[in-house]
Amino acid sequence: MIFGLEFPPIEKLVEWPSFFGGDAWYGLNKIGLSALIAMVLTIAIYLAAGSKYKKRLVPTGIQTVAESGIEFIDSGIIDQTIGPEGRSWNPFLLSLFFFVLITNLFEVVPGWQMPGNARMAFPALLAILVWFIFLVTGIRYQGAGYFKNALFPPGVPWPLYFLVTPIEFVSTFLVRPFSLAVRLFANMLAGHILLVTFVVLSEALWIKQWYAVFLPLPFIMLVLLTGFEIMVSFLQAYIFTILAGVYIGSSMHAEH
Amino acid sequence: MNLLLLAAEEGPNNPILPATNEIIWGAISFFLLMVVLAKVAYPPVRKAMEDRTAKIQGEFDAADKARAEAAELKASYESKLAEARTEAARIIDEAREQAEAVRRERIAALDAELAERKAQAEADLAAARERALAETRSQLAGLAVGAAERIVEDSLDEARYAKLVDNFIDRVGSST
Repeated sequence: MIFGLEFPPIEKLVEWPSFFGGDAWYGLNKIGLSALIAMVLTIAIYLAAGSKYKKRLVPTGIQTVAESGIEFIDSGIIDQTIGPEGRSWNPFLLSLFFFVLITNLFEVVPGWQMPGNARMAFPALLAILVWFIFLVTGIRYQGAGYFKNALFPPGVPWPLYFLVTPIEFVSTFLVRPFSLAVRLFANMLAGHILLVTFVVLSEALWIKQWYAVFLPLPFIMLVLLTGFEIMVSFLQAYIFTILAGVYIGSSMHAEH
Repeated sequence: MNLLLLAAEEGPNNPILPATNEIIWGAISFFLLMVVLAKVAYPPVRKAMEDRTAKIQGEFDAADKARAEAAELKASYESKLAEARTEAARIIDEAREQAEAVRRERIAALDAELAERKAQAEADLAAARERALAETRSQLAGLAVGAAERIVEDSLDEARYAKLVDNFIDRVGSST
């Protein structure tokens, strides 16, 4: 109770009971369902877009969405981080982007209002996947030299390796997946809590007292923050994907 | 601080640690998405985009080629046109020169004919004049002699008579 407000504990804000399966490992709740919807929706967009080309080559409607996704990953992420030779990474990064974006956007879907990534499961899963992929890519492209290049960057005077190597080890192999996951998770959880805060404030002012005149203030903030959170959803999906690109790119090319 | 405390808590309601069931559904969804997108849904869209790029590039190339051909054709037409113009000018000049030569020839021929005719006419005139003069002279001589014989009863001697006639003719000739 703060100033008569009943603010729910955080675990109440992010815990969702399973629709079936209860507490079992296969229990499907709102979070799991958001992942399924993200998958189905993304696949549906691309299947629908792909089936329309037989009739006409000029893109309309859903094809524009599908093509802008591909174009965006190509020019906005791959060209900037890996280089044009990394275009074969497009399907993976595209999946990553759409998956994170759609699960994020459930934060502002009326009646749903819960971003999938405000739970640690998806960010951790995807970050570990990216971590695994950039390690395998590094070994594939540079062999054992990948670890040598990553831990002993060329051009550094050898006594500095005592300092640089532990830092590089921690930052590249330990912090990267952790920061990748926490950045997405914390941003989405913070956004969710922010929206809940203004919902609670607005709800508390929905009363027959004179101070109900202040109701528009938190409500206007709630509307503005909902718009802001849509932007954050895109931004976090973009950041997650571009960092995956940066890590993969740094594994493909030895640092100079 | 709150979050750290919450993280330290054990149990199913921990808001920081990932829940197993959510990881499972997330993993199933993401891997399915990745595989189906990469193998089934993505390639046709990518291919259509590439085909379109190739088509547009091809059309641009064809247009460039057509434009180059047209320019070449135009240049060739222009050079032919210029050639034709020069040829026409040459033919006109030639014709003009020929006409001029013919004109000069004709004028020269006419001049010569004219001169000849003039000379002929002058000669005819001179001959006629000569003839008329001789005739007149002989008639006048006869007339003068007859008149003189009738007027002057006595006849003049031959020499004096001839001198008299000549003097008379000279006077008549200089007065005409």
